[in-house]
Amino acid sequence: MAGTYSLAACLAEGASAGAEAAKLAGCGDGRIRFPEPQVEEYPEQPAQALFLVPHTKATSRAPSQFVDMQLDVSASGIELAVREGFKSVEHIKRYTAMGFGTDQGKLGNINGMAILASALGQSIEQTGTTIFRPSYSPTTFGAIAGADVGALFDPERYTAVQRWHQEQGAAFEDVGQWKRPWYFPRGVESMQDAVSRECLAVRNSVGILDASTLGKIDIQGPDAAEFITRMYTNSYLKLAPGKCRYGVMLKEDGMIFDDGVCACIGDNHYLMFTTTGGAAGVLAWLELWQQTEWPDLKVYFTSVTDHWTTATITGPNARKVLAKVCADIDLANDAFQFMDWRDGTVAGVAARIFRISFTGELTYEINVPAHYGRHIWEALIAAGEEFDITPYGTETMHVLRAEKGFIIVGQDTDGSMTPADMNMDWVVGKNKTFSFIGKRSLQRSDSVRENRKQLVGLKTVDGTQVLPEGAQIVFDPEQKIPMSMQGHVTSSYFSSNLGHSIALAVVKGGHGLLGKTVYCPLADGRSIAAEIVSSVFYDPKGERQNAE
Amino acid sequence: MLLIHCPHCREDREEEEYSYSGEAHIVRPLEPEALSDQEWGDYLFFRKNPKGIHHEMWYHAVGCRRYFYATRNTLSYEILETYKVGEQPQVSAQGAAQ
Amino acid sequence: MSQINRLNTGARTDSTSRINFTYNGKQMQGVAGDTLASALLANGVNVVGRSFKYSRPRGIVGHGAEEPNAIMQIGSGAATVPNLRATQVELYEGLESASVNGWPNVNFDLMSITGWFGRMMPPGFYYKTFMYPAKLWMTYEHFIRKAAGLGSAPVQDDPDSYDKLNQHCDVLVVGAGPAGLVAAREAARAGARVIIADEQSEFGGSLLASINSIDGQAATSWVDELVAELESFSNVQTLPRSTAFGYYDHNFLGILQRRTDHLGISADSGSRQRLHRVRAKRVILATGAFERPLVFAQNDIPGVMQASSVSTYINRYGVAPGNRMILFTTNDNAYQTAIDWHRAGRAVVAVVDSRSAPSGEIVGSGTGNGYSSNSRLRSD
Ligand SMILES: [Zn+2]
Repeated sequence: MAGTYSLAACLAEGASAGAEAAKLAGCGDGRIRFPEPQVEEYPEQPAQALFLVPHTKATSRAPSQFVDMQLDVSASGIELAVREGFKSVEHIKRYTAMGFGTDQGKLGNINGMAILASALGQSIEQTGTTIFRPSYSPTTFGAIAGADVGALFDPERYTAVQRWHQEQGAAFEDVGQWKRPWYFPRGVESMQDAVSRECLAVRNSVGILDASTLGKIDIQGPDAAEFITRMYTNSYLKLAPGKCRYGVMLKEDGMIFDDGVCACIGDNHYLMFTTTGGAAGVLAWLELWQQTEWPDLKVYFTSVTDHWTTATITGPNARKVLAKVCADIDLANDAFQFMDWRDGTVAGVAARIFRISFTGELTYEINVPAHYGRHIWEALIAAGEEFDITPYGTETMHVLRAEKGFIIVGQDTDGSMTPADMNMDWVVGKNKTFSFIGKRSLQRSDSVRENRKQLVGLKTVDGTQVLPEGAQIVFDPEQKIPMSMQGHVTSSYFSSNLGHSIALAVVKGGHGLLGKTVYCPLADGRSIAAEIVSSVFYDPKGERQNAE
Repeated sequence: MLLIHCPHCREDREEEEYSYSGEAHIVRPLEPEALSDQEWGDYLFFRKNPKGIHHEMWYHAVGCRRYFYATRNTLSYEILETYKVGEQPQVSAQGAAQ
Repeated sequence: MSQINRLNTGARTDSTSRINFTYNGKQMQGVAGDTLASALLANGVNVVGRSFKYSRPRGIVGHGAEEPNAIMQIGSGAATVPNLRATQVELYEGLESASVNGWPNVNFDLMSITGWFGRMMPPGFYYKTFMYPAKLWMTYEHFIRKAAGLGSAPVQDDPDSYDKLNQHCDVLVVGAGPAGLVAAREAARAGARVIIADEQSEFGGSLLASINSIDGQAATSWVDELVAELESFSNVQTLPRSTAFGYYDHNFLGILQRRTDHLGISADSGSRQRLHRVRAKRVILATGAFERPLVFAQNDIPGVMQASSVSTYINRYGVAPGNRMILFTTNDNAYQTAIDWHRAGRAVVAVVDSRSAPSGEIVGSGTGNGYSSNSRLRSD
């Protein structure tokens, strides 16, 4: 309805637009129902298109003729911009700041564009207009945020044991939308003291971790094993019920995307564990391939993350604790082996127990329906009392796994790491008939390049120094800035079990550099020396998780 | 914000319910190992990114969790059709130009 | 200061009422139905700010969202809001307002006296003048910001609450002027679910300032009847004080409804402002138009005002923003402003028409309306 000025014409156009819009929206027949309002007004003669009132002096020497009042853009300024070589209306806008104000050039821009057209010796149509963008007038942040502030800013996810954690005074860490216990300080304990105590408790007796947040996807169907095998680097075709296997998932470019244990629950039935943060992405990834590439495979996925509470008991006394609350599973080492899982009853509740380990210790991950979470948790705490069972949080979990050189996807990897980069060739099936996702890319010239960043351990020369995570690694700390950066620290902690700091890092060609001294220059000018060592700091033969 | 018709739910739903999943109709090679690095790289990395008619994949992530295809004009954002995986588009860049 | 420019003829103001407010710390009075701008003009306030580069004094030129000069800080403390246009701020008892432009203040401006600042700022000053030495940029920016006076955001937590409403309708009408009102009525009668939104405090748009008659009655009472009729439809939602600020893909629009701003208080219940997220099957843009200003030498001196704004202040608010007027026009329409000015009892000094031979009926009506003028622009 642009360009209509007389009141009578506006009323007529409005009425027909209303009737027409209703019709197009499926209402009415487009006919105007109301009589046309009668208006008395003077008939108008044509207006003159006058964009710049001429002055006796040239524009550049005349008193300012303002186009944009808010930002003091004058006609002479636009002409000057043209003399300086600007032609596009969008460039002129930015050069002169015309229309930049809070009024967005509502009064000034049309004149400015016409004056520009005249200065360029072309028509207004040829010159065009700038793009007007929302907001039409300033809009408050409050309205845009609405009620999504404070507690409603972002949903928080809690496990069934959350209240117990709070009662114990746990400090919490955000992991995605989950709130996870970070560490459990006793009294006035510092974080480092609490973590050291928790770490020692796990290695020397037994600890308990709320692992409920790990992603869990229930996978069923006659083609489930085939499908899972296409998604992981290793094979699940011969995984028997009662058995678990650790797998790494790649994107099609060969880079690590997620990892976790997958258990065979029964014929055509598997339970896939994902990282806490990767759960939603992995489910979408599985569905993508099944729906678009292999719809012929009969397999179904269900997210069951929230259905289960997972209490992980780990440490040399873990079996003794479990034995006190579970009578119907033979816990003998050869009857319930590492990487097995069993159905049973724990403190009266039907449970699935997985003997897998992220600490390197004898570990049982006890899964019960989420509603029984706190009951099971308290039963295990009571059963573990005589062993001083110690609840621990994500920080201790991170330290313990780093002592073992176990990676965390997303911390030690960044979407550009292959299994070989992580020293995990062993997880890539060599004899798989189907070209699993990412396999072909592992042979790309860039994937087999020798100086790729590779996972190594770092041991600081001064064992009390803890490297900052993210620190860059150089070979010669005396070189000029910008230095030649050879890698970076991905994980770094003080290990109370070892009595010195430990770090994981990715270093160019690192697997061939064991024993080399490298340096981490810090922002304050210092530089910390560290030796490249194996990424496995503790129990390198992996005997403890198989403990009798 | 786009209004997108899910061919599975058969409803127009807000863009918030969907995730964009890249170009449609990219078929995974049946024998990846038989391809040269360049051929594999073309499959892996190269996309049309057209100005105008584009066939693309969407995921009804907080709806039916089904992937489907949409023909969208990347200039006007008009969605000309949505259709199920396995079906072919009725509108193409050639067709639209006619 | 008293309301020296107040008339008792405002169609939408009650000249017998009194509303107290402050402007730059000074006590003033306006009347019910005023905007801050109309109240300031009634009180004879001519300069409302200083310009960005040259620090020139500036007055109110418009009467709505287009206003470039009368940019105000409203309220104080946690609930203060910067950068509101005085032309859109409804007056309420106790309103506190301050110019955001002008340092140290709008009437005594250090920068225009020293005068050096504007000379430093030719077009492209962002890119040229301040590029070197780079280290000084922080200093420059600080000074520019202080000088430009972009207002100040509150530092405390926002005491107000806000909410959002997702809505669907068959027909969304943006603008409740004459075209929008009749469009909404037709669509509603056809059975469509209609939302009609307008940024002003009441529906009517330009008719609120019109002295035309429609169907034999005053335009403003015609508006009242039509609005009442619209509100009687169960399938129509009317949203005054609601700015459709963005028109996004597939007929998705954002509408900001100011629910309690005009009362100067936080909402007792619900929200101060509500964001309507509307998905419409059809959208009618009945936004009206801004009068295009004339660009002439010294066109920024306080007192230069849009012709339609002058008429609006007289007819709608009952304020004559000045005493003697020269009308400069390129069209017939503006002659109405001379008629309105004359009726307000003020002097029309001259009407300058850029056209060589204006011949419309309204042009010839000047003598009959009590003023005469036939000046013409000298053409070079
Ligand atoms: Zn759907």
